[in-house]
Amino acid sequence: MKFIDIIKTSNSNLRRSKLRTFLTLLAISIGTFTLALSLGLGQGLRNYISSELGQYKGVNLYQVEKTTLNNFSGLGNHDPIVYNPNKSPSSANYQNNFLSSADIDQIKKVKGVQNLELPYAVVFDYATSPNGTKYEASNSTFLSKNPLNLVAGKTLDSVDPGSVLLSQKYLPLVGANDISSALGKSLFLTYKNAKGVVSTIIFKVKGVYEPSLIQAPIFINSQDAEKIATEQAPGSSPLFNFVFISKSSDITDVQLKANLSNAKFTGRSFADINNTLNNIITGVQISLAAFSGIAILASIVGVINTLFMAVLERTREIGLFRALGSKKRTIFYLFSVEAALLGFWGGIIGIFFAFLAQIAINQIAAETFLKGVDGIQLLNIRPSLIIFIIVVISVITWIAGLLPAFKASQVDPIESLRYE
Amino acid sequence: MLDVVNVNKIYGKKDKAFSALTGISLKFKKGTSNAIVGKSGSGKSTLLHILIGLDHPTNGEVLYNGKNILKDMNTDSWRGKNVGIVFQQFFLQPNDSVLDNVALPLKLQGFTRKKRNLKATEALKKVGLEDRIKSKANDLSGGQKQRVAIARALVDNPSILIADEPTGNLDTENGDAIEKLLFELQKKLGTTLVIVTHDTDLAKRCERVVYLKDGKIENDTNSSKK
Repeated sequence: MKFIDIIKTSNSNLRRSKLRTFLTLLAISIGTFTLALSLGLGQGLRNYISSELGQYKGVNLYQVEKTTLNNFSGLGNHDPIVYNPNKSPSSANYQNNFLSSADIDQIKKVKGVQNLELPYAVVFDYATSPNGTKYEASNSTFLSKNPLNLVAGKTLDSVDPGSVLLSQKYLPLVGANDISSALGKSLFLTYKNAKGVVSTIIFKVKGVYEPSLIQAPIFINSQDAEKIATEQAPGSSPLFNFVFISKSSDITDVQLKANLSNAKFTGRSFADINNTLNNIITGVQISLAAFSGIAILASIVGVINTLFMAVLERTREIGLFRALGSKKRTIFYLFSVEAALLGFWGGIIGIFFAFLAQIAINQIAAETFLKGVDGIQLLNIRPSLIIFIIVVISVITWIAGLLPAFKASQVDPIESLRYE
Repeated sequence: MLDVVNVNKIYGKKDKAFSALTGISLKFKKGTSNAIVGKSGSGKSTLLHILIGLDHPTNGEVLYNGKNILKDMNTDSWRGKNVGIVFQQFFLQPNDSVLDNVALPLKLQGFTRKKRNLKATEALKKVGLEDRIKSKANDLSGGQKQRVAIARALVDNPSILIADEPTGNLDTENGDAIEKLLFELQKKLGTTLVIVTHDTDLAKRCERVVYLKDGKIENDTNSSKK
């Protein structure tokens, strides 16, 4: 029997007991539906993180901080730990986590470290637009290797006082209607120093970049940032939780981290951060897929039951096929392909409804809890994912059908032709 | 052409052993009509199953053109290509069309749909049902169903046609018509016909009648003619 005829025959056999087939397909489609949604959710989040952090792919930028004590006993369910003034964490550790000038000098000396940049924490109270409206103005210090997607103008140089980069969404702060007209316009930023004295600085817009969830809406030059941060610092100089460095070309990523570790610092590249986030998503995805697995497992029992019933009902037909010259393996193929087709059609139905759910959920998310977050598609059921799920479900149901199919192939034709 | 050589068939073991066939030897010549007659339990169905390779003899062998059908060839393929079977209960696929029912053996052998339909249409012409090609098997009368079964048996021009109580489920009128058709086609196509029946009138229409009793040949008209 030709394989195409086996598929056609198995497919038409599914229509014989419509209700039973429908119920089996329903069970499979529920499993497929949940699997598609859980994998689609993971894919959606992963895509978003990749698109955001993807800007940093290949960027030679490391975040370096102090390697701190992690055995803080305030959390966890372990037994009480006897206090040791030399080892136990103290209230002073919080301050100890900040990098001192000595620490920064030490980092500079670590082999493989170059271009140390300080992320000055500057807090502006507001920005005043030309029509007098005051806007909140969170900002960040521009790093030389910051991979912003400029849509107009130029990026900031290392020495570029009085210049600023503005997110495309923040054009109203300078009273501009479009990207090009924003260039060169004045941005009035107001802040208070440590003593509470209010000052306003006028910056000129040098460039406009695409908005991004992980990038601040305003970037100022490090020279200006240092000046303001020093004024705002309660002590003599600003404090840093971490610094940014670049890796010199004569050293590997692993070697640099090892060198930093030896000096009691921890270095993390953006690829590391990306990987950590992806690992978290994968963990969540596996948990959700496990629930789908339970639903699929239940549907497999349905497939086995359906096929055993079919073997029982079609015993005489199996006998006829054998009497007409059919081989045992043809009977085996007919039933095992029928099982695979149950998975295939159940998968198609489940994916179809998952696709509809994707459209609805993405729409609702975009209008509610993800409003204002550009570029994120909460669920992303890609074509490759669809093919993967349908193939996996078909293979699983095919495996589930092996036992009934084997039983069908072993039916005694003589007995079955007597069977009523 | 088809030789049964000293076939024995024993069911069960030791004390419970039951001999269904004992020392059966028969030669079916090409193009002849043969009947195997016997009462219920005489062993005729067992002999039929052994003849077409669905059952294995305990001893002895069945030879087709000198080759053992169980050992020297693929029995399923041999049966599909060389043996047509007509059952008492027709065994049609009730929801399939007449054409698909007749084409079924060809489908199992791997013929293309085009060739299947061509051959099945030809076979249906032979049994006078070419106008019912698209009808569902379930919509036919008993006589028509058996005609379809005959067409299915002859669709690939087999050299052997086995008929197991072919008129057993039919009234006299339809039974006579089917008998007539079977013998006409057997003569026309030169097929070796083996009818298994308890109907002695039907058996007497055959060139040769083998009477079975308690698993043994009680009488073989072929030998008595010699």
